[in-house]
Amino acid sequence: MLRSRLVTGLCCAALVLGAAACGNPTASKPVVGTSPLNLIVPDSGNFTSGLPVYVALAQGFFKKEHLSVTVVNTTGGATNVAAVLAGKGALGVDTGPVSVVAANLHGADLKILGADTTGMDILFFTKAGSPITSIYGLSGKKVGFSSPGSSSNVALNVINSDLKAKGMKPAVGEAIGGPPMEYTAVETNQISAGFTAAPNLFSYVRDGSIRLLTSLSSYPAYKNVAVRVIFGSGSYIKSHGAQVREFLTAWHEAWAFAFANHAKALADWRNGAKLSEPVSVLATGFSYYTPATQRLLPIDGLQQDISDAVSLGVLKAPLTASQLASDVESGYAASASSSG
Amino acid sequence: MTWPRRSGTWLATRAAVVVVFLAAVQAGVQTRLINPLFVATPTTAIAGAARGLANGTLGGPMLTTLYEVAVSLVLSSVAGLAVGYLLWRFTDLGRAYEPWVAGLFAAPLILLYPIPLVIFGRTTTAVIAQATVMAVLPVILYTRQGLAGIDPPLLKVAAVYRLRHWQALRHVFLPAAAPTLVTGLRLGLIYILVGVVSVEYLASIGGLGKTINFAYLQFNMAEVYSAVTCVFILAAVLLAIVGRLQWMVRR
Amino acid sequence: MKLTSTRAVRIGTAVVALGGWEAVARSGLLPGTVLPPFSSVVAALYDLVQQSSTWFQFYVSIWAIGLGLAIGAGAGLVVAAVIGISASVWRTFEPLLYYAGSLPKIIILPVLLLYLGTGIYSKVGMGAVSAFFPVAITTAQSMREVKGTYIRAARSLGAGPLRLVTNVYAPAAIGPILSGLRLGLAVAVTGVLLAETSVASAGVGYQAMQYYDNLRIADMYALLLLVLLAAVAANSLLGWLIRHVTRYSQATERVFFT
Repeated sequence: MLRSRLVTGLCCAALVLGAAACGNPTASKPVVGTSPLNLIVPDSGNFTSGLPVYVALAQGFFKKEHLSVTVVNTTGGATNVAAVLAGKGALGVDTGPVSVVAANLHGADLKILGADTTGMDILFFTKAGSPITSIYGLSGKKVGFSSPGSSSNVALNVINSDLKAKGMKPAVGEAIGGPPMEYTAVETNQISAGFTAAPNLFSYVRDGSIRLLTSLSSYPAYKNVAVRVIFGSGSYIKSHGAQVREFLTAWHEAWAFAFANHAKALADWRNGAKLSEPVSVLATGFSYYTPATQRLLPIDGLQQDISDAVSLGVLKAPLTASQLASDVESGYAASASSSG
Repeated sequence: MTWPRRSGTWLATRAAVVVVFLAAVQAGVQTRLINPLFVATPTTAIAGAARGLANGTLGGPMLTTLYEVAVSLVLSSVAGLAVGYLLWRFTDLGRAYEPWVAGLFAAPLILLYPIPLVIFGRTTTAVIAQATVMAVLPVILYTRQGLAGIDPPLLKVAAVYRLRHWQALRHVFLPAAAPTLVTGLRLGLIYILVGVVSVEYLASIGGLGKTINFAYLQFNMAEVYSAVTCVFILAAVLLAIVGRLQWMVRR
Repeated sequence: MKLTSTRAVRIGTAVVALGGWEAVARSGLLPGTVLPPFSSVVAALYDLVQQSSTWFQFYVSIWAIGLGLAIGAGAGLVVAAVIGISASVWRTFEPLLYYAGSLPKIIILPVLLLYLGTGIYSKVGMGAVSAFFPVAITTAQSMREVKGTYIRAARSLGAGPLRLVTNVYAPAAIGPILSGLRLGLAVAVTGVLLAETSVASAGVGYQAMQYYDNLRIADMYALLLLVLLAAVAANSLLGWLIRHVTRYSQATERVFFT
């Protein structure tokens, strides 16, 4: 009896010690001469954030700027902000400015560094056989968006203002999540319409199983509004200004490269992010995004974003111009764009 | 074991411990040792909870969550007791399925929450379905275990008195297995509480979990922790009730 | 004879369940992005197990779960030892542990992110916090249930406090402790995987989200199936260990689901 218990005990102890000896599997030794940077990217499959990041990684733009970048994916929105606040040495991309501003109102010290996407790029879609053919068919129906305060929430709000102006009932928003969840929800009739952005779900657009209801021209008022931004924590920016500049330079170079070399950029993105859509589908992104929409500066239309946040109930009151100005730190982007 | 004569003392000591803990958290947040961006002070949370319950902004979601928990509890208890009994009564079935049930119990079933969402839509029914499935497993396991652990002499007693099976069940077996059964129900309740609020949080449907998620997305930590306080109150009340049941059954 | 009928029941059930899955999936009742056919999932599984990246993600998650469980269980044992010693202390704290344990731990993920970063250590933290409660509760409870006769008998034979712990409390508690660990493992797995779906750059939960974002649903199911199989295997192992260690306990002592 004693021996079998001893044997069991020793085996367990050996297992535990052996396991303990294995170090942290995600610990990577940063390349000598580079600084580590945690990049908070909501979804690597998003054209506006995934493409430049993986192009920069593949083409060595980050390495050239002496940066060792780790891509961290999140579920978007406030989680991006939480991740940036948490990570020592983290910058966030593809995030609605409302999340950043709301955090600052509660005492965070975040700075908007540049625009990620300018112009409302949210596309609403329905199932192929649906009787809804335009946004006016959405009156009184359930429509999906990602989370409160996001650009999709704002886009839905714009549609509802339009409906209200025509005396129709507004659509009912449901916080579903990103395009994949929107697609599933639409497919299973949980909602009548969902949202996406090019080129997500475009293989379904192509084969006709979903139909787009809106296009880029559906939101003329937002042509010069930065709907998503790049941001970082104020303390990190102050202490690592060089790294911030380097990141923005690499980002700028990546976009320049991408717009000049569609095929190469798409291949880099597809391989790096392990996407399964064919390149031909991913290429539709270039029909929607241009150097103008992907510019770092100027960061336009933040006041519009703020008033949207207020009307959505995410913010209690609009910010003053000086409050808004203190949330923005565009100097790094300026030097990045000029050097790129 | 008699119910402690001075039950008031236990309550008071417990309350004192909680107060000390909350005071420490309060101090931590106010001195910014704990980042106030992610944790609200207990005073704000409790005041907000009281306010929210009074004016219905938290009371409504709390009722929704309570409804989901209650229905899940009834469904998982009935199904769990029935299946657990069957697994004990028909030993072949028990031997065949018990490891599977135990294995499923060890698996992260919460990750499958999108499936009930699709089957039942984005409704409270989906939340109930997920929580019921998660909770029925421990009830099955503990029911079978409780019945299997009945003292053999008791089985003989039932035979000697020539009791019919359902009579034996009612008068001998269930009372004997009751302590373990109720432990299983208590564990099931915990899994229901965690499951209901988690699915509400992840899918943004239903009651308090949805409130927590939306408040978190707007960095309204006061509301987050007010809602968490309400969840705590709900859990405490329900668990206390089941705990009392457990004491009654242990006698 | 008994073994054959058990196997027959299992095989029969498996055939009916999997056949039903395949039929429902192919009937179009639920779309392919929600429930792909079992055959597609098996095909995806076959591809998945051959990729080294899959095993790397598993290693990351298992490392986080293991470390989280170790820390959470360790803390749970310490707290249980302190609480379980005296009946009054136990009666004061036990309900508090239950109440706190029934709060969904996903809520403290932002706090964990803040203090432990976005890397693997926040997942370890989730695992630890999740595992703490079942271990603490079952261990404290088992300490209260050590038969008074054993303690008195040991004392009457001259056992000091150390001998009491090693020869009376420990052997009696080891069964329930391992059962608590079993529960702790299950919740640690859930906690770590959920955290990985939220903010991560590696791990099984992260990989599952990547598959979902690419609408590679069969791959996602295959991965979750692998997780289920691993969980079942770990659970069986612990179950065997529990039975082996408590072989000499009497049948009437409560040992959870052997």
